[in-house]
Amino acid sequence: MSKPEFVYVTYIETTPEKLWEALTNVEFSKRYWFGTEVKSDWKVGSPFALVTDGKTTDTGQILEADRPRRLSYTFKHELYEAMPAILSGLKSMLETGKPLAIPRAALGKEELARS
Amino acid sequence: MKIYRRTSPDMKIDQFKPAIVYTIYIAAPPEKVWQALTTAEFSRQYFSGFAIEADLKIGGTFVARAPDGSVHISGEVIECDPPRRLTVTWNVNWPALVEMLGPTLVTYEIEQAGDAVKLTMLQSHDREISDDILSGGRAGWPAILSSLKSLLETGQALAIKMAPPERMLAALKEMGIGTP
Repeated sequence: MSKPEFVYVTYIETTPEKLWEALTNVEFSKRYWFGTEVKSDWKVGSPFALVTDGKTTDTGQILEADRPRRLSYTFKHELYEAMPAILSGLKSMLETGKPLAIPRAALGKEELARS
Repeated sequence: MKIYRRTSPDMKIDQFKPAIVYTIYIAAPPEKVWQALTTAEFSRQYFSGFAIEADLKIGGTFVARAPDGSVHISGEVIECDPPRRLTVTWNVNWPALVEMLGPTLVTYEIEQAGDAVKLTMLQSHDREISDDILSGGRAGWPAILSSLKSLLETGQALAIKMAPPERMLAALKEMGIGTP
């Protein structure tokens, strides 16, 4: 297992099961991940893909899946700058039912280059 | 953007480097986020009952008062540009802490991001601080600022039960710094 280079922690008023669902559900992810679908069958060793506007923008593999406690997957791009916006939106979705109204540009350079 | 700097010879803020950076997006106007960061009315709800008392001018006092009324963190306002940027000295009042670690600076940056606000917290030091000691802030800031976001978006702060920052407390004790 490689060493973490970027760690982001947030606390959310919800249940572990609902959070797992939010992390793995296509329709849900589109709302907090700026239109991006997270696609996988979430089994260890299975492929993982990020799909934005019908285009696959990233691919990887499921490393760990211990529902609802721990999920680990690889992807190719660096998403450090985007994670605070994505996870802040996820928290808002779960707590208020509404995602954040942040433009995609706010996600940072990496996301900008791809959108 | 206007940045107000206090030019006290004993506080060279250019020599401080961020050791912890935490960014969170909040569905609230910048003024509301500023108010939440600088008033006791809000801070008591998201910051474990601590009251922030800030005299919002350069050189003004900055205090975080514990629920028992004691001053836990004291400092002064170094930069103040409402509702965009606030820097304060953030010194925990434990015996010998500032002597051993130097002063701690906390900066809040508030930027508009669409209809939301991007809040960035930077905890800065003028010397190397060990990961053991920084573990306290790395655990604490996400809880405090996640709770602030919940408070502003839902009207309800989070009820987070935090374990004491054992790793940090052990490291401080080792250095001869008084801890509770």
